[in-house]
Amino acid sequence: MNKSNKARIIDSPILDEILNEISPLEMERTKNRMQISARIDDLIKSTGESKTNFAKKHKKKPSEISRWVSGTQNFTIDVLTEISFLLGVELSELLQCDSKEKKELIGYQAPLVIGNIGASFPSPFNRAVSVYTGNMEDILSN
Amino acid sequence: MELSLFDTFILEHRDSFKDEIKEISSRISQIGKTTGARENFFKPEGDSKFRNRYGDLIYALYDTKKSKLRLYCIRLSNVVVILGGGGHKPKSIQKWQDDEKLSEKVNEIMRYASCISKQIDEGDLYWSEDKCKLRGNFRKFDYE
Repeated sequence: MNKSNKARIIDSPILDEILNEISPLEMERTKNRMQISARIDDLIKSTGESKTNFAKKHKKKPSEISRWVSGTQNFTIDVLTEISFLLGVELSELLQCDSKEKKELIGYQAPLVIGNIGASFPSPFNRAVSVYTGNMEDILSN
Repeated sequence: MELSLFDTFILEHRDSFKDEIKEISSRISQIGKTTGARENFFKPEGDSKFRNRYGDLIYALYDTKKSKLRLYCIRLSNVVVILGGGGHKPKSIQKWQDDEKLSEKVNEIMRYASCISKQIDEGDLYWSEDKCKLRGNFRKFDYE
């Protein structure tokens, strides 16, 4: 039987410092960008087409579709309107990131456990996403 | 103080690329709190030799339009990501292979990913029941 060492959770004051510099408004913007991207990604998947085919069908560059779903795009109303049009849904449906269905899709909300650095972000949800940062030996020694 | 690869990445770039570091950190925070590590947030990376052998494990967090900073990671699933290091990616270069420092970072993360992958296959590392943690004792060896 394998002998395992006890896991170590280590705080990261360096990351905490950066996160403390991010205002609640900036964080909310990031959250909304990422949730809308996730929603677009889910809606494209629900068409049964790959992103490449979806791009080809609508005469878009694949890189543009990747940007839509990357969580980095600051969408304008015009772009969102175009996306909802291409997906055949109402804009309000595209923005429905907090629907019951969506919550089931995002089934992994929770404290962000950063292995090795162990920064733990409080969350109202119960499940965990682990985002580990090296040293790998420490992260994986359980 | 013991530093992780990601801590080192922050320290190396927080003065020159403060906005990018904040942006990356806020996205990582949201990945942990709301969205999970969905594949669409990550761009597949690593060289073809690595990908043929181990599949898609190495990713970079997508850059914002203005960003010149790239973070590499090992994405093991929608719920587990191991953050590595990264660096400045000037818009003048197309691939990480074109930059010595970025190549060093990608090669480093590929070495770790290959070790993890092999040790999962060999049973030295295994998933916790909820599939959210890797357990076992990690041994480091070189990726050939």
